[in-house]
Amino acid sequence: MLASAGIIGTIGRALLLVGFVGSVFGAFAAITGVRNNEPRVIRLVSRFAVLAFAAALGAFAVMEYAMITRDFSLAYVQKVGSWSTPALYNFAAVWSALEGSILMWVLILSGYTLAVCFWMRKRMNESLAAWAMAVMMIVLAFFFLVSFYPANPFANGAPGVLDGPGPNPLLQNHILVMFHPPILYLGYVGVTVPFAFAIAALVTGRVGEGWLLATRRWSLFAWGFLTFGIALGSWWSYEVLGWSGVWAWDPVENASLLPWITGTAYIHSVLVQERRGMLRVWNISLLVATFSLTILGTFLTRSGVLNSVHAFSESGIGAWFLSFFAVVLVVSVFLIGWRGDKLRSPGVIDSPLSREAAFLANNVLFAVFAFVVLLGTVFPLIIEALQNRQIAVGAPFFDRLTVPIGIALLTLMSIAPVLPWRKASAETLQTRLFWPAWCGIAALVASLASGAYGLAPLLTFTLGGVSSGAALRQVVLATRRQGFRGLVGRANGGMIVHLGVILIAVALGASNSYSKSQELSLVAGVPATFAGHSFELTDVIEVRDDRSVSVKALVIVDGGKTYEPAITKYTRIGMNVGTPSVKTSLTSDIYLTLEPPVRQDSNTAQIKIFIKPMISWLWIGTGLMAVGTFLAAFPGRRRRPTDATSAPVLVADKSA
Amino acid sequence: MFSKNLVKVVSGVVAFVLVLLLWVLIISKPSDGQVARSPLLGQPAPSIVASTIDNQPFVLERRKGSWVVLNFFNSTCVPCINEHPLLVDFANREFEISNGAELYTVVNDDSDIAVREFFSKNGGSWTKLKDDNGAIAVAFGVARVPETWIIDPNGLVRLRVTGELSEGLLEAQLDKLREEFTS
Repeated sequence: MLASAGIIGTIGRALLLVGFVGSVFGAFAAITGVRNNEPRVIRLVSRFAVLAFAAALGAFAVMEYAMITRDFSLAYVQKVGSWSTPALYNFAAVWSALEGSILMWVLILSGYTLAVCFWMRKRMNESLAAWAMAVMMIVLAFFFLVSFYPANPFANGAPGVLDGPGPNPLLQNHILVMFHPPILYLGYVGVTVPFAFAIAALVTGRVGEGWLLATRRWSLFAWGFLTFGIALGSWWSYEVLGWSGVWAWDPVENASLLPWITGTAYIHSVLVQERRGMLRVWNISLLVATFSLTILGTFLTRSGVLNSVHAFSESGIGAWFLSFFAVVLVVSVFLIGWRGDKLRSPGVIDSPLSREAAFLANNVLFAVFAFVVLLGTVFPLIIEALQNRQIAVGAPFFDRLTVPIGIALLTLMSIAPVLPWRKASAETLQTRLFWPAWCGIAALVASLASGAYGLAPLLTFTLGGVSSGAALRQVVLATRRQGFRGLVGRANGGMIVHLGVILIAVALGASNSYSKSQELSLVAGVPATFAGHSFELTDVIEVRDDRSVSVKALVIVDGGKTYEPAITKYTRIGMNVGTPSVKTSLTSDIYLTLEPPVRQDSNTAQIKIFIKPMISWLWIGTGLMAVGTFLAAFPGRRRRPTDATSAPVLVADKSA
Repeated sequence: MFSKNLVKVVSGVVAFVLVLLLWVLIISKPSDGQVARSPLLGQPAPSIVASTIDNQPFVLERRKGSWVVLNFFNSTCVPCINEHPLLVDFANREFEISNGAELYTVVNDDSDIAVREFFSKNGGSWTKLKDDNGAIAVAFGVARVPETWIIDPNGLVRLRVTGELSEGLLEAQLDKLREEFTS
């Protein structure tokens, strides 16, 4: 084994250095090549992109090798490695702490850089593509640098260590750990691509709609993965954390939600710019916001300024990310100001009852949403700065403010899809809203009949009905006209995404409003009932392995299958992790957790039971969103170039 | 579409908010290694009414007037075992000086027998508190052991250390706090 000589660490550090130098040179080649108009220099860019990617891939592979062979000469392996971690979780242990997750960031970003380079290979001589590559390379160089210097996963550890604690217990007891971080990162890091093109458009002055159309699918791709990654995170929270919730408004969760909100606003408002050439400054600002929020989120959660359940590790990278965040903001704001007059929009909004006005309203709501989440997340820091005391902002703040925003968004989702561009007449609206309105009434009647009550949930269900009617109307009309092609393309795929969002809204409305919970003291052999379900404890057993001791309560639910909520004590870390056991159905979940104290062989157990209505629709809705995003990425019916569009085309570019 | 003045006002407001945000972030204090943040710092400690593993009553509020150190512990947890000699040294040091801090172990989900065995083998004669339903851990927001907290003579929480103690950390922090909060 190479362990003793510490060669692994040296190879890893060397690869990171190569990647850093490669991306700096790549950025340099792109900028000088395009400024001096030298195709030979520009051709070097793709070679540097290959080099950077190869270095990142090599570094990641070396890290995996070190983790798999348990090379305890590395400080990182000492921190998260252990002989007792099962192979699968050991593989995932590479990204279970700060240094490794930055390394994964580097790998994914270098992959994106190479992909963009390949995609733009024929157009690299164009200034827009070259500048976009330069921006991506600069961002990549920053991450290589962070990985090389303040968060180096290849730093040598203390000598003589033969075993370690393994990854955080929360990261080694569910298979989702394998998928949630990489998928989330594909989204998180993917926003770099549209951001790079936005900056390139500002630098080159080609601020027309060309760059937007070009990066449309990249934005959609990143957004889709971000959505899916966040949803997997909630699922993990539900399946692993044992508090029966899917969202805790934890700083790290907020850090992933913030770019999602601004990204969602962007994929809506970009349609207005494509169609009518309006909202140019706004769209660029949204991309800048989305990208800088990923950096800010990383700063907030990894520098240790905020407490979080996700703070699996902290280090001195705070200053690096904060400086980078400041640079991104200052450069972007300067560029937007500099190009201000070119960004002036050629069109105006004609009527408040039009598609573009609805998109504007959507964007205002999303902006407010993002502001509320950001404010709640940094509020403890503001209070600390002003009054030198520490506070926590909890779920009540976020719930109170975001529920009305959610309902307003649902309202908009009911009306906007039926609105035409430019201007709607009362008659158009009346005909187009006819079926959606009936869907809403049907939803209201159905929810009242099944015993729903309360203003917010009833509003949610009714608006859910109207908005799904509006979405279905579009899909039905399109498929009637175009057959299966009516399911693909942005407008139709988007409506399927809407249906997924509506399912999620309804699931959240029902499960947050009508959950019931109670703690039962079960004695073996004596059935107990709660909310119409029976629970019978049969046994309390203990399972031991290298890593942990776990106590399981075997509970028969409704006389059927046995469920096994457990508490696992990870002895190497000194942490107890509860593992819930869930009986899932389409109407409601029965969620069982074992509560401390537990004693094996006592034949008694404290079991907390949550009845969560309709929560499974949350995951079905997520799946539908993923399908819709996929369909939206396919080209829909193409507009013939001779067709009239409603905006004067690219006036600004011609004057340039 | 919008008047020039409005654009200026909006950009001014946005710039101001961004600068403010940056300022707040720049002056924010990151956790200093193991010394962790908590909303409880500077606040009155959560009340603890518990019994010791020898079934004696214990009320935290009665300890006002002394510095109190709480160590959340489990006899199977490896970092707890590792830091134990440091706690023994710390307890000896505080025992020697006048008005030294009182050290208490809060037992986290462990059997009394295992705890007694551990302490008779590894030393440490200070009081051990039972926390069978985890109420004390929950009140302090302790997710995993070991964690060590310092409470001042007025009953206010002053320090939280997460994870295994490093050598001299507790002594240095306590001396600093004594200087700062004892008049």
